[in-house]
Amino acid sequence: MRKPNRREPFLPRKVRQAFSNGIVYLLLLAGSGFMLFPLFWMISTSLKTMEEANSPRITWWPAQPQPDAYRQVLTDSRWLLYFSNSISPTPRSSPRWRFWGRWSRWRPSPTPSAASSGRDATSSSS
Amino acid sequence: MNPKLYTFLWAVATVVFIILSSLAVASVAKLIARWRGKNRTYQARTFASYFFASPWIVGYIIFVIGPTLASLYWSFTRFKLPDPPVWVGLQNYIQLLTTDDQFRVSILNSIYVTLFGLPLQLAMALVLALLLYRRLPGEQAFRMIYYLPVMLAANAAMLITWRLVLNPNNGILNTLIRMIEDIFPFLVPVRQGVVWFTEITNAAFLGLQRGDFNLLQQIVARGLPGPEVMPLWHQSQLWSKPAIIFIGVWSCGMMMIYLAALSSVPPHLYEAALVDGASGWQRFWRITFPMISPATFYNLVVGIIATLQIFEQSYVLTDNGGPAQSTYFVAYYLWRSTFRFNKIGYGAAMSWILLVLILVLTLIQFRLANRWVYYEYEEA
Repeated sequence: MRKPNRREPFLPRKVRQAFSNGIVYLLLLAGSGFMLFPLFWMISTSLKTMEEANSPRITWWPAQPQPDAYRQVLTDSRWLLYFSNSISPTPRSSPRWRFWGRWSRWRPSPTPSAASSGRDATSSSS
Repeated sequence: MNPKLYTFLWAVATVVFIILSSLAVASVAKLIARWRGKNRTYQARTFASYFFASPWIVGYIIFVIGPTLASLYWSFTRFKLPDPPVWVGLQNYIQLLTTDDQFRVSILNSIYVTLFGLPLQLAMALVLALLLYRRLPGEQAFRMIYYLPVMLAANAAMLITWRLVLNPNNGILNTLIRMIEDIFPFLVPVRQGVVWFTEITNAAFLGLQRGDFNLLQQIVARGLPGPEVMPLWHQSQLWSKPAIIFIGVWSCGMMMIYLAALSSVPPHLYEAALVDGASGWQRFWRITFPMISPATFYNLVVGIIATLQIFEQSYVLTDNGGPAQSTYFVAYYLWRSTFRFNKIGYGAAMSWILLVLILVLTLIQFRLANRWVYYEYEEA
């Protein structure tokens, strides 16, 4: 049973509902701005020139997006090697190096077959 | 040899090993069952169940128990890698707990971040979960947005982005603060107060931590900072730990667990409370909060463990432990002595101290849990 002295709401129920939903939406939007902003900034910075990235003036989005950084990464043989190592279960890094004989010691195999290919310049240090 | 064939042979050998070791484990289990005088059916069942469980058991023994025992042994030795370990008894532990200042600093830093960061994370997660629990249209999109940082949090690329964002001079965060203050000038004194409070508390903490209160005296003597003093984030020893706490709040994944717990609160409790005329505040503190206390407990336990293991933040964000060792954390110092200075025995001892610390804290929490965590099935 309802208590008789419960005060009557000022606005009708639907209006109050819409009002509070609006406030919740605003808070959620502000929160997602906070959550997404660093991600947005990461993407935006990746397209900037060095000057734009380091200047104290805010460049929200570069006037002329520079794909140079991406081009550089995608043509970097070392990066490609590391990326393929990350996604493929068999190590491709080492056509010349393999697990040989004794426990945990890497030794050169007798066939330096792929010595001239660009990618194993990185695996020569072990 | 052809590398593909080589990989294939290794795979075959692994499978054979797994089958043989499983057979061995299952036979041992069956033998034990026979010694205890069980009948044949029971023995056969024991054999079968242990046979199917033992790939995991063997993997656990090889990859978890084995390294654990090895590190326990190494923690009592002096071990520099090309040389074999030399037994030194308790010397590593004694040195860590009595004379090593850096270890004391890192333990205290870890405790600082846990003590101040975790409540903020819990509060933020709970508020977000309560907002999302309205079941408004678009909830799923918001849920995804709020979970995105968790997947990217301790990622080197993300932390480098945070270095850019938090840069005190031309970082976007401080620039944004300046921009907002240009529009609303009354916020400048608020920022001055926040800066003053953070610097005073951090200087006091640093003083307590190192027994040297010069910095605190300087800060106190300076009084309220001028309006030009901005937060220095990862470049000052007074701001590096707040910066890490800030990133922790940004990337804590506790909201999902709260959201799941909220949907399991029975609605008839709210209906009853509404009939009784309870206000929204009362409904939250008397119904929602007690009913989701298991989620809070879980978040607390997992959060403490995760915060004590912070590593990437001090490695990438503050560039190797930060200004004046202000972001040395236990896990970071452990890594540093083990892999930078090749003191493997010392690092192993540190990891065991960290393990004991986490264990003690978790046990204390489980003890205290009886007082405030409510499980529904206990009623029955």
